[in-house]
Amino acid sequence: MREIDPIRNPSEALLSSALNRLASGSPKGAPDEIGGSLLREFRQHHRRRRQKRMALVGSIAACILAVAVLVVQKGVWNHGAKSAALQAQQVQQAGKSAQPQKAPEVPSTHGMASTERLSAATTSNSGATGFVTLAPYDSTVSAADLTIVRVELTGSDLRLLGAPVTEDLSDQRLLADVVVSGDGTPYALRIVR
Amino acid sequence: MAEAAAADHELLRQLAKGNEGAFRTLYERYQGRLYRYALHMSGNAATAEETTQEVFLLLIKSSKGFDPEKGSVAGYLFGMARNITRRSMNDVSSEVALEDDDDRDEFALAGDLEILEELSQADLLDTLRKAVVGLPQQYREAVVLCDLEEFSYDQAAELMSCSPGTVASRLNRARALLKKKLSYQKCVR
Repeated sequence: MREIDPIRNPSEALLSSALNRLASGSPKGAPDEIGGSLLREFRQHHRRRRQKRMALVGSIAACILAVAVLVVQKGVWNHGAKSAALQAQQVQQAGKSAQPQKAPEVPSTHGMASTERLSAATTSNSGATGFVTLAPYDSTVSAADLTIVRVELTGSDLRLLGAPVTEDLSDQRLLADVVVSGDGTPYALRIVR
Repeated sequence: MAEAAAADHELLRQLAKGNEGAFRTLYERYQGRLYRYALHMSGNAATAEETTQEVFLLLIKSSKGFDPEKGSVAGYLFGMARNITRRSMNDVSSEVALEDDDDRDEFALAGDLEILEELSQADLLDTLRKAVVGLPQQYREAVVLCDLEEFSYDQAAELMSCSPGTVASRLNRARALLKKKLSYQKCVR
């Protein structure tokens, strides 16, 4: 602060004194309500900010999860396609060892358990994969063109396809894997359940 | 001073993260000075309240707008207060242009100013407030910061974005204008 000589400069001294009185007589600060409302605003602002951040983090996590699920699913599909191609190759190999023929009519085997009858029926014409070749089987078809489709059909429907299913299972729904070509022609079949 | 600036900067960083204690500390540290600055600059309590509120609201909402390379937190806050006060003060006609070539001597001026000693506190505050508000903006700011808020020339220079020499010169000019204004008021009483 400047030193003021009140004798040589009385007006400056008077003004300084008056300004000091003004400074000391002025309010010390803003009313308390302002501080209170600002504090409320501060809390609200940061609550909103936290909510926005949580929503953003949640969205990012959901996106990452969705991408991960897609990647895993794609991996599963790729694996499924590879195993299908592999099984189709095995079917082809089985087909080469066994002559393609119309599946024989399996005689009724009353008194045997269904599973036993099924296994008995599927032992003929089937390779290590358990597939039975069907009448339209063509050994020249590339394995890459074959797809395995899992179906659930009645025993009679499967028998129409050429599957060795006994009469007493005609009305039961059975689960089967069918090897089909690109145009939908069934080449081989195996009873799953 | 550098330590205080660093502490302020840390408080501002904490405030930006949502630390309520940091906000309270900064508010308590600056609200009084900002309020009085706005009050003396505008001569209006409502404007001072509005300015204080708006400065801290801006601080809450955009505390990351502060750049320590450009100055101190105090400078940042007073800069905002200056802009808000200026915007609020539409009544520029209160700035009274006074003739500089008053040839009355120091003792005649002092005689006129003796009336200040005789005024009651309320009258004195009213008279002085009006006289300060009537000063041109840059002179008023020098008086408010250096005489009323007791900032050093260096501190005021930082807040006013000018050199300490300019602050001193503006302050001299402001005080001369104030004396003339108060002396004039005495003459018309």
